[in-house]
Amino acid sequence: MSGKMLVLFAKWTGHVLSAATVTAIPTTPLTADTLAGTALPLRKLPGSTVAVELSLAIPTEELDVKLVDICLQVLENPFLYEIGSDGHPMQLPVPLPEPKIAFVSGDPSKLTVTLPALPAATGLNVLVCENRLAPDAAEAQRTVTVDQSNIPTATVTTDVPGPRTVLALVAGYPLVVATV
Amino acid sequence: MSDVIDRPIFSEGQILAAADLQGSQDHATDQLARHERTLHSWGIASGLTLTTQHRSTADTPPRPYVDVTLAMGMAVDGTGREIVVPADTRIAEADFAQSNFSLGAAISAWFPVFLIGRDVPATSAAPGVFCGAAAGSHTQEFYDIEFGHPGDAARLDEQIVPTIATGPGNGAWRVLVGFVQWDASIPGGKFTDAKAFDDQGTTLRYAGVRADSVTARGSTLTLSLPTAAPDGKFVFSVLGAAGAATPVLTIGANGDVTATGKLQGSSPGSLPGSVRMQSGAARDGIVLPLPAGVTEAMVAPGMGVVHVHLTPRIPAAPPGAVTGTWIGAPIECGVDAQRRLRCLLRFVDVSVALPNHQDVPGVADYLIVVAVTPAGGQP
Repeated sequence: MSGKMLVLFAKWTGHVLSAATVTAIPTTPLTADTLAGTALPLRKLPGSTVAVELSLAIPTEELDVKLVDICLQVLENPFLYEIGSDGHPMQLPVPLPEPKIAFVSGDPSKLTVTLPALPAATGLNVLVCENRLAPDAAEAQRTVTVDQSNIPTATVTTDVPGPRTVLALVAGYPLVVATV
Repeated sequence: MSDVIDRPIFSEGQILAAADLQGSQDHATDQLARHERTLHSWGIASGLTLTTQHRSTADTPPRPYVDVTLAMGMAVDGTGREIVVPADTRIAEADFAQSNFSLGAAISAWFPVFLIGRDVPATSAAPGVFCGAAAGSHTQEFYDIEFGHPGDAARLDEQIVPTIATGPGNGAWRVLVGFVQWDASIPGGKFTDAKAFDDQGTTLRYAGVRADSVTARGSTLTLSLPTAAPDGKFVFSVLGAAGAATPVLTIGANGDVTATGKLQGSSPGSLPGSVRMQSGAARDGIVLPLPAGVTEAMVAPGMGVVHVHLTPRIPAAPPGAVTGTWIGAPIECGVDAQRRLRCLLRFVDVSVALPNHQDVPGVADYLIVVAVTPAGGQP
């Protein structure tokens, strides 16, 4: 197949979320809303630790798009890939311990994403999305802190407290769908 | 530097010699010729058409022939010389017969008729001068009508153009005014037809303009064809090294456009009335990309029409499945009003006693055809 592939990925974490091939390369500047509209819907994301499916929409402002050579594996299983430092999709390292998501103790309005290890670089990015209460709702925290126990965490404040199923994207780690 | 342009000047009390006056006149004539030669292309400027009047001989049966007349008019030749035919002029059969061009030629042959400018010295008594006194002299800007062999008209571009500083030529340049057919079997010889082009496609050349920029003073720049030329056309050409013009864009009098290259609007694909396509494969949730050069505004409601064809890709098993025998089928495959792909596949594992199923987002091959709306019309 000739042509190129347009890859939609999370702007802050690099996770590939969807893709499309084109035989004619677009002549207009590429923007995420070209392929996602106002938000990219993701349906029936399989739960990684629990038997749950999540459907949500990631706002376009959290997305970016790249034109790359066609790779059918990325088209068929985009969640296994991230955008590498060279700007091309590369497979996420597997197996890799997944980040853990939980409420902050005593505060049902705050979620913590706890990383299995210290990030290799500063500025590690975390994106948490959920739509349990409101479609397309999204929260993002892009700074990782290290607590007194030397455990790196990112804290996300939700609009409405309570149990929920969320998608967590942590740069360098597989995506996580979890119910908390 | 003999080619330097010399312009006579006069001073009060100067005794004027004939050469002084002649030099002044020559300067204006030469200047006009240089203008005509460099800022215009040579050819017929007005009139100079060949017309026929049908006649027949007094023989039994009578034999048809035509009288051929050159209409009055003006041409500018390749030396910048104006050639004026001040009155309708009949083409004399005797002149053609004397040329012997018809010897050995077929009766269907078309012989070119040329107009050539020539100065003819003439003298007359100056007004108010008695006989015996000094007589004034003048020159008639005359013309000759000559003929040629069939095919000669195709070689008019081989005529030698004067050097830049030179004035108008004199009897050195042929301007084609038409073609005639000749029947030598009629006693004395007669023309049998006349027209503006021959059977090789050679036709009249009209005077033109050499310009790198043409600017309208008002809001409209108009190029027009005469109504008498319904098969006329606007031709945009590229000149080759030998001076031959190669058409690259032609617009017929009926509006048909023929181009050797691509037609495109301000952005590729925006040409009204065109059809653009895009194809590929996309995942569920993606807004299908438009063809190159087509913008969302061009497919907004009431604008271009979008046709979408989808074919879902059904893999052998759902993602992540390592065991089982799976049957897959699309349960949803379409696009919404935003062209967002909705592709959902259902896989059933038939290797177990109680088949279970998985619904997963899928990939579909797509083909998008966009008919861009013509200005003010339907696609």
